[in-house]
Amino acid sequence: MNQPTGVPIILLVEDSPDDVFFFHRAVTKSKVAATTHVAIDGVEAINYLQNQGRFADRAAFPQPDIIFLDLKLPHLNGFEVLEWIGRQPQRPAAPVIILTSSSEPEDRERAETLGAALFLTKPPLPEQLSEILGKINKC
Amino acid sequence: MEQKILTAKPGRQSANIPKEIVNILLVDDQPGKLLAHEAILSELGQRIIKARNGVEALEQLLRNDFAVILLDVNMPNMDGFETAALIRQRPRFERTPIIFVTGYNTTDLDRLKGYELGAVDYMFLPVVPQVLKAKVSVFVELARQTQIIKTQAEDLAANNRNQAQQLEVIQKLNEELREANSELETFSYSVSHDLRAPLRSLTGYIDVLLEDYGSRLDADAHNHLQALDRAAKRMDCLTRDLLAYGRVARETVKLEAVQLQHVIEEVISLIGSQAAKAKITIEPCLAEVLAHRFLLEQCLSNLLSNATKFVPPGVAPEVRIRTEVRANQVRLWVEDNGIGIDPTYHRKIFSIFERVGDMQKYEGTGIGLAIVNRAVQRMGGFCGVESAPGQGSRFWVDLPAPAKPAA
Repeated sequence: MNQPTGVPIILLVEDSPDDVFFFHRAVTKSKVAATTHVAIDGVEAINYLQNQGRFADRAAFPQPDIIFLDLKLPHLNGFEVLEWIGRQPQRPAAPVIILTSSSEPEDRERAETLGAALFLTKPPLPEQLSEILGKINKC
Repeated sequence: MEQKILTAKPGRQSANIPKEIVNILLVDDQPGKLLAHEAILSELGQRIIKARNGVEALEQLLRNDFAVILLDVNMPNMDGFETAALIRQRPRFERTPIIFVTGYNTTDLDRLKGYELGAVDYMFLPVVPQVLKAKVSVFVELARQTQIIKTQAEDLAANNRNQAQQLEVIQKLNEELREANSELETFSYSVSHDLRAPLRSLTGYIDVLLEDYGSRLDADAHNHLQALDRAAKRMDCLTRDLLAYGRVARETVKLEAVQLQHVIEEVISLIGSQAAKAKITIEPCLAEVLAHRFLLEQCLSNLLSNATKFVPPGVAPEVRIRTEVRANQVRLWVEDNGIGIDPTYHRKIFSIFERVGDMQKYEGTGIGLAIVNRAVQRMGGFCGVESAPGQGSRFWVDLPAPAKPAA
C-alpha cells in the first residue's frame, strides 16, 4: 500500500538494466522519497497502466504520479506508448517525462507533439530528479 | 501546285520531303493507255507501277503501299469495280484512294456503285493531261503528308519511349538515393542511441566506483579509472561530433535573415564552463546575415569553442566577434588570442580529422572545423583563417547579406 503514505509513485519504462540501475541511484541521491516501478518495454508499460498481466494487483502496482519513458524500447517504442496514452478516453493524469539518449531535435519535437511534459537526456541527474519529483509532491 | 505545297513546308521537314517518294498504281488492260498515263504522271517525280489487269494489280498491292490507284473500269475477266471490291477487302487498302478511269458513258448507277466501292474520283476518257496530273498530285501530296506524319509519330513515340526509359532510370536512381539516405539516417540514429548507450553505462559505472569504492582504491587504481573515464568521454565526443557532421550534411537548407547577436548569445550559453572562463567581446550592431539557423549555430559553437580552447597554458582566452559588410556579403570574424596556426595548415585544418601542429596537445576530435566548413558551404558561403603561430587566430565566415528592402 504505497499511495496512502503520500510518496510519489514513479513508473520507469526502461529496457536497459544499466539505465534502471542508474535511475534508481539518481533517485536515491536526489533524497526525494519515491517508489519506482519498472516496465521493461512498451507493452509492459501499457499493461501496468491498465493493471493487467503481472501488474494486475492494484494495491501493489498503483497508478503512477509520474512516468519516465525511454524512447527506444522493444515491442512498442516510447512514441507508440505516448500515442496509446493520448488515445485513452480517461487520460492518465501522470505527466510523461521522456528519458532518452537521443538529442535529436526531431525526437524532441515529436515527443512534445504527442504530449510529453519534458524531455531529458540520459543520464538523469539527481538535481533534475529532485526538482521534478519535488513538484509532484506539492500536488 | 505540288511545288507550292512543297516550298510551303517548315524548314525542319523540307530536308525529308524529296526522299518521300510515293507509289502510284496504274491499272489498265491497254498498254497504250498505260504508257500515255505514265507519261503524263511521270512529271510528278513519283514511282509509277503498272498492272495489266486486276490480278496483277492485287499482286502489286501485296508488295507496295500506294498513294493512289488509277483503275480502268473496262477490263476483260475482272473489271475495275470487281478489282476495287477485292482491294477494299484488305484492311491495309481500305483507305487507298481509287480514281476510276472510264471510257463509257457511265450511268449514274455505275458511278454510285464506284463510289460505294470507295472511289474518290472519276476520270473520263480521253483524259485531259492537266486534269489527271492535278487530281493525282493531290493524292500524292496527301500520301506524302501522311508518310511524314507517320514518321514523325514514330520518332515521337521513340522519343517518348526513350524519355520514359530515362525517367525510369532517374526514378530508380532517386529511389536508391532515398534508400541510401534513409539508411544513413538510421545509421546516425543508431550511432546516437545504440553506440552511446554503452558509453553512458561505462562512465556511469566509473562514477559509481569512484564514489562508492574510491576510498578503498589506491592511487594507481584511481589513475586507471580516470584514464578509462577520459577515453569513454572522448568516445562520446567523437560520436556526438560525427552525428553533428552528418546532420550538417543532410539538413535541408532554408536561408533566412538571422540576427547574429541572438545566435551568438545562445551558443555561448550552451558552450558553458569553457566559455565562462573566456573574455568574449561581441561588437555592438552586428550585421544581419542570410543563414540557416541550425547550420549557423553549428558554425559558431565550433568556432567559439576552438577560440576559447586553444590558448597557451596560463593565458586567459580572449575572443572578439565582429562583422564587416562587404557589398552583398557579410564577413563574420571570430578572433582569439590562442596559440595560432602555421599558414601551411590554413586549408588543411578545415578537413575532417585533421589536427595539426600544437593543436594535438589539446583535447579535440578533429571534426569541429570540418563541421564549420561544411555548414558554411551548405549556406552558400566561404570560410578561412588568418593566423600565425603565437599570434592568435582570426577565423572568418562570409555569408550572404539579406536583400535590403527597396528604399
